Amino acid sequence: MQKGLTAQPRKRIRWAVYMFVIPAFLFHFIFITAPSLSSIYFSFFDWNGIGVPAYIGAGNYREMFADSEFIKALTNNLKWIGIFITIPVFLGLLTAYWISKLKKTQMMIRTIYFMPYIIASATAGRIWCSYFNPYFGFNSAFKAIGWTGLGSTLWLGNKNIVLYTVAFVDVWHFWGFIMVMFLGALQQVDPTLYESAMVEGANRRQLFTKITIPCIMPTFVFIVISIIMWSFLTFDYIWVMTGGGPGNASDVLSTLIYRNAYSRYRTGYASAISVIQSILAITTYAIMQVVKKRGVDV
Amino acid sequence: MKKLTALFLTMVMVMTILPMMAFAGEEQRQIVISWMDDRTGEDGQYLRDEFVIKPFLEKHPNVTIDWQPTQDITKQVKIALGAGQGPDLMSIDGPSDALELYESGRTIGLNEAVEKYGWDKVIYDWALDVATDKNGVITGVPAQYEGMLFYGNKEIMDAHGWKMPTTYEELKTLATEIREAGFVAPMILGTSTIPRRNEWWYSTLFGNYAGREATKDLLEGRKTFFDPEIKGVFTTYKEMFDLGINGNQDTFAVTLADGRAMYYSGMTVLVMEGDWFVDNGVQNGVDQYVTLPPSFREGVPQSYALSVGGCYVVNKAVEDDPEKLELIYELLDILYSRPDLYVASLEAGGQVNCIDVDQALIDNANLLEPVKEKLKITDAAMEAGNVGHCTWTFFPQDVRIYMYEKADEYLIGDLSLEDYLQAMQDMLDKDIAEGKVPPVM
Repeated sequence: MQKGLTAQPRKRIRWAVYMFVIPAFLFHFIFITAPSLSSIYFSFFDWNGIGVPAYIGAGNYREMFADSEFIKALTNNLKWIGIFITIPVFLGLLTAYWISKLKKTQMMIRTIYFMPYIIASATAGRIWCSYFNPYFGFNSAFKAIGWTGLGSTLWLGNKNIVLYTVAFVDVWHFWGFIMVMFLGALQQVDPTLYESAMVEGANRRQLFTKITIPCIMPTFVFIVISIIMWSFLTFDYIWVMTGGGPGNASDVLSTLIYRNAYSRYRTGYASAISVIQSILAITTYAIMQVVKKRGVDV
Repeated sequence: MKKLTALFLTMVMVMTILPMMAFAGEEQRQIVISWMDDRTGEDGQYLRDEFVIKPFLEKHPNVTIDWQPTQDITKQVKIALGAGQGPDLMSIDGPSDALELYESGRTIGLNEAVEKYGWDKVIYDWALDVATDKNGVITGVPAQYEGMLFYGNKEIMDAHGWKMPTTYEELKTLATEIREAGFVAPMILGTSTIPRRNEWWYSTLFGNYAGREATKDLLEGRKTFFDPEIKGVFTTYKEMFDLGINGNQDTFAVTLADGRAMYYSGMTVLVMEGDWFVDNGVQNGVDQYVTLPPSFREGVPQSYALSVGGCYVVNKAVEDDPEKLELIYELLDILYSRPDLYVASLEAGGQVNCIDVDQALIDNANLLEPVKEKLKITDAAMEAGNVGHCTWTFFPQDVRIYMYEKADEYLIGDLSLEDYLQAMQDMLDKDIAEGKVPPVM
């Protein structure tokens, strides 16, 4: 009797759950999964996106790994990851830590820092392009105060620094978001832990390294892994500010995919690059799962 | 009894009206023609409404034109057609795109319409030829023509006693004087985010350095990119870059809009753009000199690099609806058979179509003075045969895309001239063998 009472509702609940999940699943399958799978299919074809695809086996993949543009773009993605898992994370964590100590002005300051994140990247990118114009942007100001070296730097025109210039703008846009994430995590740390440690004679550094960091570690790992995934997919600021140029100095995988698909009309080749890009992002996700299983609750 | 009579009369009335309605419905079938157009903004809408759509709808009240102004139209069209959808009528960028869409089976050949409506009698032969594939199929109907011109800020040039350059040597001297006078650069191309702008200079140099015949020889396989006249196009462009005539590496950091703004505000003095820039000058209140770009090699005249600036193509899906197809042809016919409307659209700021109209109509038209001046220059160049080939019309797609996309790498030394030329030659050889090079005038 007891068994019968519990078994029946459990079955019903399971069906109800599926009923709620199915619409979202169908939506996801039609608009995300199926097109993604079709990219894998088309990556084995020579196709311009409108005509009849011609099967070429692994031809696109062979071409890709011998393509200097692909290597350059992938290298730039790795540099991008290097920048984004250090600067905004460090800046966001440190600022969040100090802001968490504020009482009255906390909301105002964190709103100010967060604001760049809500500006559309196309708008912000265009504005920053004007700032980096060699004739009437920051350079004029640098020259006016006598910093001629900086004043004659081609922020978006020099192939050696253009990637870092765009990364700077994206960091400006992004770090406020990281700061808010850390702030949320910091506010979850039990204050009694700090009180106990202080009673034991812990100093500020010890409080930070022995209590704060371990307590926010799940958030920290989540942020770092997410940044790596996002960095493989980054597109907007680079496309708006440089289009991947000059030459292909600031190309990343996404800009290369876009250019092959919509400028060169090599949809098959673009699909092959997309597949590799997805594999990199999925591998990162898998690493996150491994880390999670090893004890860090992400 | 009264009720019965009323019922009877009502039934008679309904039975009389119903067949009439059905008959009327058959006569007045409501047809929607979707037209994705590269004209955008209020001006574009006014020009289309006033000089094409309204005259058409006066004759066909049962038709609705779903006009869809679209930027970056070729990309949008390819996505839509690739998905098996797309509008009925499309104004795309040019003949090479028309050819690609036709070969992919997404649009229809237009020979029948061209012959039936006599468009071949008014459209310039060279324009129709370039929109025709190797089997004689007209893949798109040419819309307007455009070409590259040289512009100078009249106020600044007069103040310094400068003249528009007619040769490369004069351009180099002028560029030096402009720099010495304190201007930031003689001109800024502004290729940031749009490497395609390199095409403008290449088109000009093919006409004014290589020359018309050498370019024709290249595209027909009698010369290669390594022949001195052709190779010189690229070495001259690099020399201009190194001399800073185009702003050197600064050009990579300046957007098209900012580059234009610098010219309007007098920070730079010269501009090399298409004939559309006449209107930009007028709209921004800049009084400017307009000339043909200078000659870059002795014996090669100043010429007007010419192109078909757009093509009309029809979705293959419309083939299943002959009535709609005929209406689309009638809509297009207004563009080719109504010189009065064409001239009126020119007066309102419209573009110059690829059609031959009575010169007296143009002469008597109430055109803005800069527009008249420009037409005088370009007409004279065309009459004298001093025309070049814009790469986006006459070069096969993969060659020209590679040419402009790799220009930055070549200019900054990341790509050697030999490799650059060899890659283009390989592509061109393949395209010639496959018959993918458009007919060259």
